[in-house]
Amino acid sequence: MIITYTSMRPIPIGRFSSKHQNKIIKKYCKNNNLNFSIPFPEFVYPSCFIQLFNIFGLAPSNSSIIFFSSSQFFDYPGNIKELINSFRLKFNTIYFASENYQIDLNQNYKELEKIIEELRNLDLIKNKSK
Amino acid sequence: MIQDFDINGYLIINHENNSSYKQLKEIVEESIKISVKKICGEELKSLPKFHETVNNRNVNEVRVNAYNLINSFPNLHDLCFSLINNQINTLLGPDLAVQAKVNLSIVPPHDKSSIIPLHSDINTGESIHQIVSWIPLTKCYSSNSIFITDLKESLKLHRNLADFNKPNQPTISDYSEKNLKPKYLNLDTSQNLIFTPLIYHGSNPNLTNDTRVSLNYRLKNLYSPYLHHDCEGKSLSTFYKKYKISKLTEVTDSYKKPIFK
Repeated sequence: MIITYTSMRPIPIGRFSSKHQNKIIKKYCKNNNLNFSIPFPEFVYPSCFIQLFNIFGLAPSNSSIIFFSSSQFFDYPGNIKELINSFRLKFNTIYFASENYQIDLNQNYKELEKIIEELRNLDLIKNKSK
Repeated sequence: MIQDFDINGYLIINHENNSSYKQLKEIVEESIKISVKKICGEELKSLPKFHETVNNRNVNEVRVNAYNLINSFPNLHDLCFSLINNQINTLLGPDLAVQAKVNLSIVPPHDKSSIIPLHSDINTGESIHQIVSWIPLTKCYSSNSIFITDLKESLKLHRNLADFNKPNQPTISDYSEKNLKPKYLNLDTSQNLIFTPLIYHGSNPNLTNDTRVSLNYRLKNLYSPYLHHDCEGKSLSTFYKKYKISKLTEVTDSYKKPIFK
């Protein structure tokens, strides 16, 4: 099963309406021969990943997930290793439509860990410099 | 009837204008027929038997094509609105903004891509002040229909949302399954559902033998606040458009501020 996931709050690469995000994901699916399905939109509240955790519960094993952007993780509040383990329980591949990039979660899950850590550090620096 | 709205958070209204519904149904049916012909090269038998002509892989493409056709009709909002005109006036007043595009849902039996998990529209940035209007074009019953939850329980969940912001814990779906008691609404094609976006709702896998086709759109008082939290694309002119104005607004709109140079 392929699940798609959008962000309803501003992310580091900008502010995008759900319409725009759907369009980008749809185009990515078409280019990569993936089945498009209606995205699960994350809630608007800061540092909220309730919908993502909901997906972890609903998705069957060996699914794939398409994010609008890897930068959706920038305000992830919890333990990153724990998050990656939850991904690996249900998903083989994670795709990032905006960045045209994918990670095989069986082989290269550490890559995802690195991306989230870097994003969070960037966010921290940005907040400190305010 | 309107008195029940503050207890239940929703109302089922018998259409106030049957001829508008007839026209609306023709528009939707014809748009889906054209889209099925274009995308699948086949003739659609009927809306409830949509799944016998269109396989699940093509559902979204047909839906998007039909959605664009339906929204090209200039009187679409008027047809939808005339089904519930009087009740809306009581709930929202005479100055109204409407969702610019009317959504089309097509939910064939056993199609997992059509599932819309439990949600409340305000969690994804829509205005807390809107009402959702939901128009069935096929008979809606048991799992092919929308499910809604209790207003009081929904308000409690809103208050305690942060409890579900952790992985490997009961999810919002687990909680709702235990506590929110989803109620499938049985709706006839002569009825229109309206509900507050505070109510958690969604649709589960359709386990019936009939495809569900429905429209939905949002209405709000023109002068109520737009953005709920910081969310892109839900303002007047992007998501909503000015729809109706009162006599008073007509007069005040003609007022021009004095300019002192």
